[in-house]
Amino acid sequence: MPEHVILFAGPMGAGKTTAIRTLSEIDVVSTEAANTDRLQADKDTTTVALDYGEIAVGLDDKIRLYGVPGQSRFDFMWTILQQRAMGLMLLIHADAPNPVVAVGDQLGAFLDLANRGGLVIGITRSELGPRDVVDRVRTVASALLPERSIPVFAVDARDYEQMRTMLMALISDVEERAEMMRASR
Amino acid sequence: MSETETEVVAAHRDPVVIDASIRALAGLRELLPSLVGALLLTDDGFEIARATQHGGTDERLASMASSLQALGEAIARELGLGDSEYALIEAHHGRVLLRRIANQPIILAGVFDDDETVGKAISVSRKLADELSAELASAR
Repeated sequence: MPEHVILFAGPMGAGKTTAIRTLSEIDVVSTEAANTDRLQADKDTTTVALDYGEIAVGLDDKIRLYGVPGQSRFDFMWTILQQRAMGLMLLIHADAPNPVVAVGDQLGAFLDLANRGGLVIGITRSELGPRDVVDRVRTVASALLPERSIPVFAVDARDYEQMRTMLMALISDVEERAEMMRASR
Repeated sequence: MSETETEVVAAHRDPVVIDASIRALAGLRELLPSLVGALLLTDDGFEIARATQHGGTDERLASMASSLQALGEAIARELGLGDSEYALIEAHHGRVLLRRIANQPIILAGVFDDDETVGKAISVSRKLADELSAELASAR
């Protein structure tokens, strides 16, 4: 299996840093700063450059997990980190002001990666959002990428088994997309 | 809010911090003629004050400086090197210097053209950082 670079994206407060900490087998490299933007997310710290974690696969291969900042003022990091990524794990918190619109915005920002690589969507804090949020997110994602079957999960970013299941679905999609790309050449 | 509680005001909205920052940057311009632009920004990338000499700086400098400072500090932390003092980017046509204001969630980002010696930029920025840190500490 080739080395996989997986990007964790989503709005501020979606649980990207938590998800990487849940999955990583190494101490996560974090770039957290004191959060002064309490209107956008009421939490103490926020990622300002990246999070980085790893999962070993066999003796030599790794899945590299990169998390990007959620705020659009750091979108230069989205561009930089998107270039090497092969799969996108998009996390949206259901209690965001408008989680369905947020999915559309985020997919638009990472469309290049979504088109060429794997994609899964995770809805965090789903118990705090609209009851039909998963279905509505699935509808929006399908409308934006009609040729794709995009897995949408309701997940707890702190739960290892749930995040592992989501990651395996993404890896499977990454490999499927890579096979399709090879076949089309 | 009770009488004993104090509302925490973000640095980029705090008049005391903004006023001190504007004065500090004005002093920096006097001491460093090659200064193209300088910002004081919060750790999470919000601009507190700005000084420009020759036509402005990129509007995203605050966000980029925040990211780069955090990455530099992460590298120093990973290698067990302790706190990082400053980071310097040496480019063909100028330099960018990032320096933390000690004990404050504030970063200085200075952009210099290639006329300034590195040593002078480093020493003057250290002086600004020390003085601003002391002033903000005494104001609280």
